Amino acid sequence: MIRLDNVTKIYKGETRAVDGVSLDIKKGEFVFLVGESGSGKSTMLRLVTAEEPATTGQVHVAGKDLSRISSGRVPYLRRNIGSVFQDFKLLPQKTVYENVAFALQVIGRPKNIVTTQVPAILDLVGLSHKQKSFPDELSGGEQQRVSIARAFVNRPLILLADEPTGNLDPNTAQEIMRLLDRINGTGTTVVMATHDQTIVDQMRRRVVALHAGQVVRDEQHGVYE
Amino acid sequence: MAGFLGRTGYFVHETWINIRRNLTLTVAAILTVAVGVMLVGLGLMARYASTNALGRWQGGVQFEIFLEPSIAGGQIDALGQELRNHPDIERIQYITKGQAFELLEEMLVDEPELLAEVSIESLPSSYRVVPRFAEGELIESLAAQFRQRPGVYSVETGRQQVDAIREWFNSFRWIVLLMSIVLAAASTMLIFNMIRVAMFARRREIEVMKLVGATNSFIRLPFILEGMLHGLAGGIVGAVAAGVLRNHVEELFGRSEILAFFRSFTVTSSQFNTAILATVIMGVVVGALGSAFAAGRFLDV
Ligand SMILES: Nc1ncnc2c1ncn2[C@@H]1O[C@H](COP(=O)(O)OP(=O)(O)OP(=O)(O)O)[C@@H](O)[C@H]1O
Ligand SMILES: [Mg+2]
Repeated sequence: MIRLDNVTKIYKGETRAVDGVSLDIKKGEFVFLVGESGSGKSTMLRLVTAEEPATTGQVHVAGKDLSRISSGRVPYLRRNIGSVFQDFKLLPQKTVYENVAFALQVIGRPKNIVTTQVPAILDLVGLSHKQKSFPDELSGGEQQRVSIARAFVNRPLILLADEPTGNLDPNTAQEIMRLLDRINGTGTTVVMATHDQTIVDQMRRRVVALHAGQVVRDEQHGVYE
Repeated sequence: MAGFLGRTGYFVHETWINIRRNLTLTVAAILTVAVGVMLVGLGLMARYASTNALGRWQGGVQFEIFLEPSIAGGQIDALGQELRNHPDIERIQYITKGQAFELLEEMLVDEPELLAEVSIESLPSSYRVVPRFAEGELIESLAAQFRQRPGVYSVETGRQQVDAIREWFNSFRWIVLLMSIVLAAASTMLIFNMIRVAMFARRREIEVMKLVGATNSFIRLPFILEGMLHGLAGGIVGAVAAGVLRNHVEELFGRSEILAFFRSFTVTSSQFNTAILATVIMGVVVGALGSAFAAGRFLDV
C-alpha cells in the first residue's frame, strides 16, 4: 500500500529530514512511527501525501509512483488518504456536521451521499448527539473524533495520524486508539506517528523507529523502546 | 443533478461570504474598475462619434478659393462668373477683405495685439463654393481645377480641415487608450490584491480542502467567481456612468453656442449599446484576470 525505496528528503539544501529510508507497508497494517523530536516522522507522512516531494528515491502509494504523477492528480491521490493531526485542524465557524460534510462537498460528492455518509460516520465515532455543536464547544477528545470522522468519511485506503493523542489525557487517548483500531479493523491501513510510549507498548503493533531520518528499528509486534 | 445543485449552492455561498468579509477593499476595487471601464466606454463612444461626424462633413463640406490681394477687379468678376456657370457648383458666396477682417476680429477677440498686426489690405478676399455633390473625392478634383488660375492664391477644401481634425482625434484616441490601459492594469492589481486577502482570510479552509483532496480548480473557482463578480459590478457602474455622461455631454453640445461645432458628434443607439456592452465585458475580464492570477499564484498543491 505504501512503499518507500531509498527515499531521502533534504529541506532547502541542508536539513536531511529523511535519509535513505526503505519501507514497505502492506494493506491493512497498523504501523507506529516513533523517534525523538526532529527524527523525521512528520516529514515521512508528508512524503506519502505528496505535500513534499522526495529529493531522491521513490515513494509509491496505492500502486502509484508519486514522482511520476502530475500535480493535477495529487488531489485524487489524497482522496485515498485520510489525515489526522495533533491540532485537529477543524474549521471553527462550522458545526461538527458541517466540518465532516465539508470533506465530501469539496470533492464534489452528491448531496445524497453527504446526507447518508455523515450521520453514519458520526455514529461510528459516537458523536451523533453533538452534530450541531461547534468545535470550541467540544472537549479535545471529541474534537479529535470529529477530525477522525472527517478523515474517514470518504472511506480512504490509508489513514495517516500525526501524534493524534499528543494533546489528550491518557483516558481520552485510549478512546482515540480504540477508534483507530476499529478503523484499522475495516481493512484501512493506519500509520501513526507518536511519542506515546504507553499506547505503543499496549497495542503491540508494528513499530518503525527513526533516528536522524534513518530507520533504526522495524519490528512486527514492537514496543516503544 | 442534485450534486450539481449542491455544488452551485456551495460556490454561491462561499463567494458571498468572501465579499462580505472585506467590504472596503471590495468597494475600492469596484470603483477603480468602474472608472477604468467607464473611460473605455466613453473612449469607444467618442471614437464612434468622431467617425460619424467626420463622415458627415466629408459629404456636406464646401471649399474656399482665396484670391491674391493684388488681384484686379475684373479678374474677380470673371472668376465669379465662371464659378456660377459651372455645372457642378450649387452656389457661391463672395467674401470681401472687409468681411474677412470681421471674421478675423471675431476669432481674435481675446487677442487685440495680434489683430493690430493685421491690416485689411493684407487679407485675401475669397469665394466660398458649395458643390452640387457631397463626395470628398469629387470636391477635391473640382477644387483642383481652380488652383492654378491667375490671381488665385490658394484653394482650401474641407478635406484639409477634416484631415486636421481627424489627426487631432487620433492623438486623442491614443491618450484615452493609454489611460484605459493604465486604469485596467490598476484595477487588475486591486482585484489581485483583494483575492489575495480573501485567500489569506480563508487559509484554514483551503488547507483542509487540499488535505481531503479538493482539486485546485474547485478551490479556485469561488475566488475567481468573486473577482468576476466585482468586475461585473464595476463594469455595470462604469457603464451607467458612461451612459449618464454621454447624455449630459450631448445635451451640453446642443445647448452651448461655443460647442456647436460638436453637434455632429452623435452615436447611433446600436453604437451606444455596443460601447456599453464592451464596458461591462471589460469589467468582467479585468475581474477574471486579476482573480485568476491571484488564485494561480497563491495556490499550489
Ligand atoms: N518545512 C520545513 N522546512 C525546513 N526544515 C524542516 C521543515 N519541516 C521539517 N523540517 C526539519 O526536518 C527535520 C525533521 O522534522 P519533522 O517535522 O519531520 O520531525 P518529527 O519527527 O515529526 O518531529 P516531532 O516529533 O517534533 O514532530 C527537523 O530537523 C525539522 O527542523
Ligand atoms: Mg512531527
